[in-house]
Amino acid sequence: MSKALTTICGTISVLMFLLMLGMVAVMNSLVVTRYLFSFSPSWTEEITRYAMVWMVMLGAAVLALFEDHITLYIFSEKLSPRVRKIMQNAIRLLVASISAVVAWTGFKFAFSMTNILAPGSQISMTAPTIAVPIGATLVSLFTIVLIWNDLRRALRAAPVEVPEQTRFMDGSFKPVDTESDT
Amino acid sequence: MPLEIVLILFFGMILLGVPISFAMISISGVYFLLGPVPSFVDLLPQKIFEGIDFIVLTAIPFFLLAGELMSRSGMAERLMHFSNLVIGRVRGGFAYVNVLASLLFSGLTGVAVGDIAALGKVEVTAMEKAGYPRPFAAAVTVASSLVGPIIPPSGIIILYCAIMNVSVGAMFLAALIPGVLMAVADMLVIGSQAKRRNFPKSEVKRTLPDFAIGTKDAALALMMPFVLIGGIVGGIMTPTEAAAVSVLYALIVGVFLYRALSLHDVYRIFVSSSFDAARLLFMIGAALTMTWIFALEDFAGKVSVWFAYFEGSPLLLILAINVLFLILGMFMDAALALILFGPIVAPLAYNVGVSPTQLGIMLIVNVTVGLATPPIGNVLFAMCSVVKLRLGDLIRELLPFLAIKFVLLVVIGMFPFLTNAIPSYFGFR
Repeated sequence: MSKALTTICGTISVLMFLLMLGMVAVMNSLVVTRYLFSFSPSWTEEITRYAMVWMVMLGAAVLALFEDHITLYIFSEKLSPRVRKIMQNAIRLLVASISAVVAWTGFKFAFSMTNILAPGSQISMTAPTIAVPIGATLVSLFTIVLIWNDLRRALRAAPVEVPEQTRFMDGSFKPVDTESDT
Repeated sequence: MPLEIVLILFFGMILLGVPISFAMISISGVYFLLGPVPSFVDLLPQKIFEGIDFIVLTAIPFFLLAGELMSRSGMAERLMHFSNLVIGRVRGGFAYVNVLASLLFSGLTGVAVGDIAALGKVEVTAMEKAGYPRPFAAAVTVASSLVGPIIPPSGIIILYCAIMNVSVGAMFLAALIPGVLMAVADMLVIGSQAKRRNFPKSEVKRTLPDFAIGTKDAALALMMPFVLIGGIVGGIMTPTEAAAVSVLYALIVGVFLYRALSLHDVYRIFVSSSFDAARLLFMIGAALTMTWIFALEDFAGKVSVWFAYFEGSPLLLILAINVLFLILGMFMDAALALILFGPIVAPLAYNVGVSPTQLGIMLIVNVTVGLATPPIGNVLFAMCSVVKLRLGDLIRELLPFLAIKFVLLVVIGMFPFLTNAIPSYFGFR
C-alpha cells in the first residue's frame, strides 16, 4: 500500500512536469510560428488549457494526501491535541465525501461529453473533463487512507506509511509547527 | 438555503480549518441538494472544470515558474547587490536597499510570499549584521514584499482580469505607478526613522567598474518586465504567451547564462511550481461553484441595497468598498476575496464612475496589504518562520508601514489618474 502511494505520487509528479513542459513549449512555439510562418493553429490554446486542467486536478490529489491545500490554521492551532485530531478527521470525512460526490457526478458529466468534440483539436471532450472526476477520486481515496491511518493508530496498529512530501516537491503551504503527523 | 446561511457556513467552515476549496464545494453541494432542483449537484464538476479551463489563467503557472527559476538562479542576490550600489550609502542604506531590491524583484515574480522566500532571509540577516534590530529588518522586508503582487508580472492581476473581463495589458500598465508609490511609501517610513534611530549606512565600494559589473549582473533581470509588458501592450503576444516566453527567458538565463541551475534543479522547480499552481487554481475552480450560488441568490443586488446609503458620494462609496475588502483581506486569501467579492462590488463602483482598472488596482492593493495584516497574513507567518521572530514584535514595527499603505489606498481611490494615466497614454480606455 505504502509502495503504491509512492508510485502514484511519483508518477503524478512526472506527469505534472510533462504537462507544464508541454504547456510552455506549445505556447512558445505558437509565438514563433505566428511570426515566422503566419501560422497559429487553433488547437494550441485549447490543448494548453486542457493540460492545465489535468495538472490542477492531479496536483490537487497529491496535495490532498499531504493535506497541503489552502487552509486557515489559526483556530485549529489553539485546540487541544485530542480535539484537534477529532476535528481533523471530521474534516477529512467531509473532504472524502464531497470528493466522492464530485467524482461520481464528474464521471457522468465526462461520459456525457463523449460525442462532443473540442472545436480546435477535434478531440472528444471526455478527455479533458474526465480529469475532474479522476482527481476527485484520488482526493477521496488519499483522504480515506489518512482517516484509516488515524484509526489504526488509535487501535495501536501500524499505519500505512505515507511518503514524505519533500520527496516530490519543495515548499508547502502548511505552517511549520502544525505539520501533520501523517 | 438562504444566502446568509451560505455565508455563515462558509466562514464557519474555513475558520474551523476545512481546506478552503473543499469548504466551497461542500457548501455548493449541500445548497443544491437542499434546493428546489437537487439534480443541479450534477453540475458541480462542470463548474470546477470551467473555473480552471480559462486561457488567461494559464499565465499564472507560467509566472510562478518563471519567478521560481529566476530566484533559484541567484537573481535575488544580484538585484540586492545592484540596489546596494545604487542607494546603499545613505543613512538607513540597507533598509532602502531592501525596498528597492523587492521592487526590482517584483518584476520577476508575481507573489509576495515568493519574495519573502527568495529574499527574506538574506535581507534580514544582512540588515541585522549591519546593526538593525531584527524586528525592524523583518518589517521592512514584509512591507516591501507587498509590491510583488502589484508590479507586473502579477498572478493576482491575471486572476482579476480573468474574472472581471478587464484587459491584462491595461491592468499591468495601471499597476506601475501605484506599485512604485508603495515602494516610495516604504522608503518614507524608513526615512522618518533612520536619523532618529541612527541606522547605519552600508559600506559598499562604489567605483565605476564595480558599478558596471553590478549593473551587468542585474540587467538580465531588469529587462524581463520590459520584454513582458512591451510584448503584451505592443500586441506582439497575448498575456499567456508572454508568460510562457518569460519561462523560456528564465530558463535560458538560469541554465545557460548564469549556469546556476542543473537539469535536475529545473525538473524539481517545474514540478514544485506546478504543484503550487495546482493549489491556487484548484481553489479558483472551486470558487466558481460558490460564485454561481452568489449569482443565483443575486448577492450583488443585495449588496447594492446595503451600499445605497453611499450613493450620493462616490468617495464614501470607495472608502466603504476599501473597508469591506480590508476586512475580507484580513480573514481570507487575497485571491479568494477578489474572486468571490470583486464581481459583487464592481457594478456599484462602475456606477459612480470608477474605471475598471482603477477599481482593480485598488482592490488588489487592498487585499495585498491584507497579506500582511493579522490575524491571517500569510506573509507575516512566512516571515516569522523564516527568521524566527515573535509575531507581536514584527507587527509593532510593521504598523507605520501598514498605516501609510492605508493612506495610499485612499489616495488611489481619490485620484483616478494614478491608475488611468499610463493605460490611457497607451490607448487603453
